[in-house]
Amino acid sequence: MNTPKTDTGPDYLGPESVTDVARMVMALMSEVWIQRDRQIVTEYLLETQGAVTRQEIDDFVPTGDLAERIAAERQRFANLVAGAPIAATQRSVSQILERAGMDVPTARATGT
Amino acid sequence: MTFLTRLDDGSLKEGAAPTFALSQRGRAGLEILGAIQTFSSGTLRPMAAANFEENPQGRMLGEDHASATPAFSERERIAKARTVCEGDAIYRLERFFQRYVAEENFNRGIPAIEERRAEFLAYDAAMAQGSDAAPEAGSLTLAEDLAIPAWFAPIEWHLEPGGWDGYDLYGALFAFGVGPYVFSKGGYAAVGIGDDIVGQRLKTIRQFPKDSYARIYEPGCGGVSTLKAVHSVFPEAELHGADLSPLLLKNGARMAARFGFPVHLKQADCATDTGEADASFDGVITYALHHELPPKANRALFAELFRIMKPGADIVISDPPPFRAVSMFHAVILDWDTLHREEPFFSPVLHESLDAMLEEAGFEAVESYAIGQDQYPWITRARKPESTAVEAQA
Repeated sequence: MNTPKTDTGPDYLGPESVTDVARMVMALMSEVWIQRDRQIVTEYLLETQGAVTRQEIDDFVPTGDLAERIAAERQRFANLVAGAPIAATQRSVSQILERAGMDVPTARATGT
Repeated sequence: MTFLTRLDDGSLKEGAAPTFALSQRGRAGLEILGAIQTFSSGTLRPMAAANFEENPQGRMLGEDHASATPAFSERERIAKARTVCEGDAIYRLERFFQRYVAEENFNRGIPAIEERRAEFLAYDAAMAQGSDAAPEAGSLTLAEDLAIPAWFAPIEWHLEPGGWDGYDLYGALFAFGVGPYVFSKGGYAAVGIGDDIVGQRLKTIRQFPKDSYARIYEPGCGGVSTLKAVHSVFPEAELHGADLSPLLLKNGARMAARFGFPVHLKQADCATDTGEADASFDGVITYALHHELPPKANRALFAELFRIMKPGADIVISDPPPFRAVSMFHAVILDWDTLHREEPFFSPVLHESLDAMLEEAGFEAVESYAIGQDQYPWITRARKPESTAVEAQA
C-alpha cells in the first residue's frame, strides 16, 4: 500500500474515510450511553432495594418518573454528542443551555 | 407495509400474559437511536432548511417549485436543490444521522431481540393461549406457489436485511424494539418529528365518508397495524387483507387473534390478482403502500381494486405526499429516501399523481389533502361510480 504522507505522519485512512470514522464515533456514543443507562438503573435499584443482581439490572424496564428522567438525560447526551459539530458556531448562552437540556433564564441573565 | 409497531396499548388485557421486554443493553441501545433521530430531525433539519432558504439558488428553486409555470421540470428542480443542500455541512450531518439510525435499527435491533429469543417465544405462546378470538373467526391462506414479482424479491426495504421475510423475529423486533424506542419519536422518512404513527392510522381511517362498512379490504396489509385501526373505527366491518410476505401475514394473523378481532388474510400479488370476487367490498384502505410499488404496478393494482369494489364503494389511501405538495427543501428530504433507505420506487411514485391513476382506473370524486405536518399523512380518496360506463351501455 502506498500510504500518503501528511504533516502529522502517514495518512492511512484517507479523507474519504471521514464517514467511517463518524460511524465509529456513533457506535462508541451508543456504547457509552448503554453504560450510562446501566449506571442510572443500578443506582436506582440500589437506592430502592439496597442490593441488586446482574439479572435484575438486565431485566429492569424503567417506568414513570424514572423513565422520564432517563429520557431527558438521554436526549441531553445525544444533543451534546451529535450536536458537537454545531457547538463550534451555535454559541449563544441560550443555545449552550438548550443543548445541555437546561431551562433558558431571563433575557437579562443571558445578556440578550 | 409494516409489522405492528406497538403492542403496549390499552386493548391488551392487563395481566393476560407475562410481560416481555428487551434487556437493559438492548433497550438502551435502541433508545439512544431514538434520541439521535430526534436531534437530527428536530434540531439539525430546521437549521438545514433555513440554510437552504437563505441560499440564493435555494430560494430561486423554492419559488420555481411553487410557481404555476415553473422554468424547470420537477426532476430538474430536485436535482438542483439537492446540490444546494449537499453544499451545506448541517444537511450532510443530518442525513448521515438519518442513515446511521436506519442502519442501526437492525444492527442493534437484531442482536437485541435475538438475545431474548427464548423469552419472546415463551411470551408469544402464553399470549396465544390467552387470546380472545375464536380460531374459526379469522383465516390465513398462504400460497407457496405464488409468483413473487421481480420488482419485489430482491429489495431490502428500509435497509432491513433479507427484506420483509429475512428474519423470523422481525415482528418482535418492531413491536418491542424499533417501534416503541425509535419509530415512536417520528422524524424519519415522511413521518414528522413527534408524530404519533398509531394516531395517524386512526385519523386516516376516519377519512372514510360513510358511518358504517360491511366489508373492508386492504392490499399490502402487512402485520395488520392498519386493519387493527380499521376495526377500532368500524367494529362491524368484516376485514380482509393481502400481502406478498408470508412472514408479515403470519405475524398479522397472530396479532389479530391476540387483539381479539377476526381478519381474513391471504398471500397474493394484489396488482395482478387479489383472488377476490367482483364487486365484493364496500371499502378499501391502503396505508404506506403505493410508494413501495413501481408506478406500473400501482396502475394495475387500482384496476384490480376497482374490480373487487361494489358500486358506490369508497377507497381511502395514505401515502407520502407527492413532491408537488411539499416545499422544495422537503422534496429533497423525501427524494433522499429512494437511494439511501432502500425505497427504489419512492421518488418515481412521488413524481406521479395517485389522483390521476385512480381516475384512469374509473374512480370518481377523487380528492387529495394532508392531515398532518409536512403534508403527511397525505390522503387520497375516491369512490367507485354507482354505475360504470360498461353497465350503463348494457
